[in-house]
Amino acid sequence: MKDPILSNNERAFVEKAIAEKLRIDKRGLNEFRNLAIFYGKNYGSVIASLGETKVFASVSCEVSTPKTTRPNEGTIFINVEMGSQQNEPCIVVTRILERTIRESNCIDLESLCIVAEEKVWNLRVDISILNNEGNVIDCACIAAVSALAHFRRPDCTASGDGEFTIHKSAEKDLIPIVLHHYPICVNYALFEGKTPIADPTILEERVTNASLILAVNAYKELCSIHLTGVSLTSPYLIQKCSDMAAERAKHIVEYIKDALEQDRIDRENGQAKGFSQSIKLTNIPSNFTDTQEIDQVMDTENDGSGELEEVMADESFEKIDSDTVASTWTKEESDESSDSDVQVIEESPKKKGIINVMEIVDTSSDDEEKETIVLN
Amino acid sequence: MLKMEADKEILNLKPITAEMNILSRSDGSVIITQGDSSCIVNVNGPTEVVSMANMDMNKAYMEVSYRPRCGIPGVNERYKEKIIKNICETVILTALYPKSQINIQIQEMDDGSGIFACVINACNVALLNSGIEMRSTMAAVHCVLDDKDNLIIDPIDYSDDTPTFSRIQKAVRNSKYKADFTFVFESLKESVISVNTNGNFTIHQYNNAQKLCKEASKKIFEFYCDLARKYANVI
Repeated sequence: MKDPILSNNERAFVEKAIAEKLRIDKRGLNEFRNLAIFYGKNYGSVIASLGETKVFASVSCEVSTPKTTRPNEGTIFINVEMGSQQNEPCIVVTRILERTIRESNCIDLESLCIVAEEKVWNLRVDISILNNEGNVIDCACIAAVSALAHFRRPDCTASGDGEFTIHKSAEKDLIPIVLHHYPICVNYALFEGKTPIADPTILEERVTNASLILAVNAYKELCSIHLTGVSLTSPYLIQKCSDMAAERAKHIVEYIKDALEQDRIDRENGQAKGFSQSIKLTNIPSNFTDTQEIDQVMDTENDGSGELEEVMADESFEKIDSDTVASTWTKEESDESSDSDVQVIEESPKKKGIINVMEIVDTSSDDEEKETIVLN
Repeated sequence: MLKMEADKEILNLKPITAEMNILSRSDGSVIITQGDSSCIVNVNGPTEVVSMANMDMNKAYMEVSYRPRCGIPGVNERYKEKIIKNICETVILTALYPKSQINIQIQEMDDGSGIFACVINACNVALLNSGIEMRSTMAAVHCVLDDKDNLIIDPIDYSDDTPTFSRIQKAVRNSKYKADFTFVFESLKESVISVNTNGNFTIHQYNNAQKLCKEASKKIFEFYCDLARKYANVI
């Protein structure tokens, strides 16, 4: 990952634009980029993308001994990696996520206990920041929370005298982690210490180092707060931001729940596509924006500067024309299992299994419709 | 003589899907899914060499980092990095980029069967996407030898073990096959540039596996052509 260079001109331009309540990517001051969540084939792996910022999160578990201070609670460990090695921004993100997820007690750690004082489940959330286009913390938080909500652990039965069995998924259904609430981080970049900008891009983040990160759950409860760069200039700032963040968090939690429900239905029908559903061939140059999208942004960005808009729509790479296609290799539904015995190595042309099929991507299947909510 | 009675010839590969340019901050990036395996690879380079000790006056220095789906990278990942580095140095014209460094970052996402082949194919597509000059393209095919001595190309293997980050549990996976092979072919002469095997097998079985994989690799090369054709349309 390369660090972008920030010129003085860019800095001045962004600052001046923000003073006029304008943003370089045409968003409103309280408008977020498009969010998309994709679940993998394995339980607990997720790609979340917020605009071009992309984060991969995966949850895993293993049995270990509990802490002596908390003998009947499981543990959770969060690890964030950006690029190839750990660096300072990673540690900041890790710390904020720890406070948001672990210290808000959103996970029922007692349910992770197998034998008190001896064996508990140890959860590990690995977060890998694939692409940083600003507002990594929001994206990482959404990825982590949705990965935890998606994760299933093996069932476990204790049979007296400290012995227990861990069941395979074939024997007993895997069970989800108990989440009391879904804390969502919402990051506001602060310009001149008082103008909050929702979902800052990397350029905006670099122009102002000040930011206010609030973790709010769907019940509008503040879980953690993190202020960097400036001291508070207005007593109403936190109140104002946390109100806005609460709305945002509510939408995101709904979005995560919808995505989970969709994934559950797909899995029940045996159609879990994994990450292949995220693959489209449209966003070929990465900075490619189709005109339709710009129109849509323009629409939402109506004149009222005091109005707060919030747009949560499909990820931009989902907005594709129906005639564009993804190149997919579909193999024949083969009869591998039925005829096992006699087949000789001979090249018969019709046996060449693979056919090159152009599969038309079904854009209408995703039920996350664009929704525009105007708040007053 | 190479014929084996119980051999099945299945040149079916699992469906492959790929999308290039998914990461805006990388020179080349791809998300690839191959059946139950998927990964994201991004390539950056040629850039300046980070550590002077690695600077080579005659060719580019390659750095590969492999991140597993869960847990911290360990010996297995280092081993894979080493192999991928060697393979990539074979296909990249490193002599064109002296005193510079090429970084390849691999993030494993679904570690199904044949993930290693999937990763190598992804590296190839990401390198193509980055515009780094290559001698040839490469295609990796995974193949297993099951209990009845049948060779199966690119098997679909729904493992029911739960994700874990302890290394010991990872190592005992995949023991249900007698042997597994991952062959990497280059496109010019279709010759083998890397073989990675596990388990016990006879030389006949090895030769058969290689023959089958070579056939199957043609499909992957076709897929690369398809992919390039689509992207060339837009760019």
